[in-house]
Amino acid sequence: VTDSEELVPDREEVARTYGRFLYNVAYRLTGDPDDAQDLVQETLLRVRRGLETYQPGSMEGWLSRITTNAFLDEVRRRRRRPAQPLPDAPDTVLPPSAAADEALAAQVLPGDVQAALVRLPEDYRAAVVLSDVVGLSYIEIGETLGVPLGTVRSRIHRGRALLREELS
Amino acid sequence: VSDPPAQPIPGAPRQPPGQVPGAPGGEGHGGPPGQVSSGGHLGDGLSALVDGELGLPDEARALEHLAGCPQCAAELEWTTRARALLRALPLAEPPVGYPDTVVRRIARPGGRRPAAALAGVAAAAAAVLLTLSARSGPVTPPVDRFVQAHATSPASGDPITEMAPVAVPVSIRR
Repeated sequence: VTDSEELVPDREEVARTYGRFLYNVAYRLTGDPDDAQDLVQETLLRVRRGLETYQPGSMEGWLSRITTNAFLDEVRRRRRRPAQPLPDAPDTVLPPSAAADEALAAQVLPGDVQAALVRLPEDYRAAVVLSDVVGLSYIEIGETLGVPLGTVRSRIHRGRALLREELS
Repeated sequence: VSDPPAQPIPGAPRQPPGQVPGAPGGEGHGGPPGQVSSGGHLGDGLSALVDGELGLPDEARALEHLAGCPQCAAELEWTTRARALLRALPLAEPPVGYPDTVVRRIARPGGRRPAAALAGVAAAAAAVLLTLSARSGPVTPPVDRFVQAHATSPASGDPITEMAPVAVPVSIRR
């Protein structure tokens, strides 16, 4: 890949202006400070390459799209095989569980939520982070992940369901 | 991109008996996004409901269903709580030195993940040295193995790191 200097945006400025935002998204996705910094690094490299695709709108939305895709690419690269898409199993209605509800009602520390988050399958984690950490709409999440709206809905709901299980 | 036919995820909640197979609300990628089941439970429509992602007619139907369905009401309760917990997460605190560390790394020529690349070089070099000291006499490098390893390594991978494990039999003709 050849650097064409004219296309290079001021990555340093992006890093400084959106650094906290980028780190937060990267950390929520990876759950590890070193991995999060690597992910921010990869995102900044992609910012340069993807500048032509930038459409005026939410800079945060655009950056979180790049971050999420860089994250999922890395996950797949580490698995050393083609993407293993998650089954979108039929949605389930969990039986009422007093223990789970008590746990959720009790004081839950952010660290516990983060620990539960990183135990979710990556595709669900990505959907939930884009929805509840970044605050994207379902349409934006669908565009980011390249999946239809029904899949977005299903992944967010199952992500929350699994999170509740993890916290109980 | 679409997902394969449903398969249970290890550790995922099972579908309880009594739920109609293929009931709407369970569609991963099937029906229209705004659709709410008319007969079955609300399922992932509940997340869409609390996220304000159901259209108005569906929202009205969902609320009507909720009024008479304790099971969906309970699911709505924990959906709302899980969502609130996620949304209450504070902004993660970056390590000391961030973002300077990252800015410096991307400023390097050709530079990504210098640490990983260097580790790969070191491992390969160590392997060569080991082999050199352990063997004597001319040995033919298994070029075909390198070619194959190169051909099968993913394009996005770091070639040096990828090569390290197969570098063990390397030797050099003197």
